[in-house]
Amino acid sequence: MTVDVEFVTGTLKCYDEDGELASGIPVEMQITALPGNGGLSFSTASRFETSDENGGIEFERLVRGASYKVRRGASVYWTSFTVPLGTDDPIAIDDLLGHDVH
Amino acid sequence: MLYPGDVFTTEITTHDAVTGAASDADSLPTAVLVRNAVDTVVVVTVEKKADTTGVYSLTATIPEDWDRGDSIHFLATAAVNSITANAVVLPNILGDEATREEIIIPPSPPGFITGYLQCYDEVGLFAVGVPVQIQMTQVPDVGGLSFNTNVRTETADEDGMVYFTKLVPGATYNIRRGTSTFWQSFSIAAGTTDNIAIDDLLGRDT
Repeated sequence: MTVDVEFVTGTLKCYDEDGELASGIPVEMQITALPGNGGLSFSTASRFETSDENGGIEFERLVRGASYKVRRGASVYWTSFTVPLGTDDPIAIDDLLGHDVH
Repeated sequence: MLYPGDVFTTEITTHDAVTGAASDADSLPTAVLVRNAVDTVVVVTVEKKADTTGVYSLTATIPEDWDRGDSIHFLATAAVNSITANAVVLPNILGDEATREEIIIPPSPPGFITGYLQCYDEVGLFAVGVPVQIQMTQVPDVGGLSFNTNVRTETADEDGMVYFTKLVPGATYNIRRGTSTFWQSFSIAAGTTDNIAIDDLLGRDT
């Protein structure tokens, strides 16, 4: 017996205000809702990833059907998104505006 | 969760690099099964999905001697209009077959059931040692029963599993994970005789 859960990878591409790929940008994510099938518990602690030299960020092991909030840099506001059902993997995280600390 | 010996399968799609439109590959795509960032010789079967444009299935059997915690994925390669692209497909972490067989829900005595949760941390790994607390808030209303409202605590085992035995059908409970301020309520339908997956639960760990 195991509890069914499906993980996918979520991706973002970060750019700066000049339209250049932005490396070293921190993006923070928190789970806000689970799929609702029962039997699952997740921590709501924040997780962080930082954009690589190509502006790319990958959040691995996102739960298909779950909702998350995400913010870039020092932004006050969070953007919510839900990991789509289906078979796509990786998935593109919803577009995200943010304020970077310089 | 995938385990050694399981069939690992998914579908990929191919597209025209210029228009983005679905398009058949120039020839049948190829794929390798990658284990811990190393290409393997495990046979991956690639087949065109009938009556589709640019949809292919990838199928491989995960060797029995691979280990729990191994990171695996397909690396697929396809060319459309002479433009070749690679894709990492369906990354997964393997579980342990032996462990899967050992996960048995502890039984409860007649008249009671067992509720369970599987706990993960914020990055999707088993959260070992996480405490989960429940408290009865409403009795079944069948008459002649009295329970106390003390909090009971169970802790996630090495597979992240938390079991609450002797839950009462028809009763309502509050539940929380870790140091969460808020409690969530769940009810067990009267007459329930099967063990239940407790409603999904978010929480903050210490």
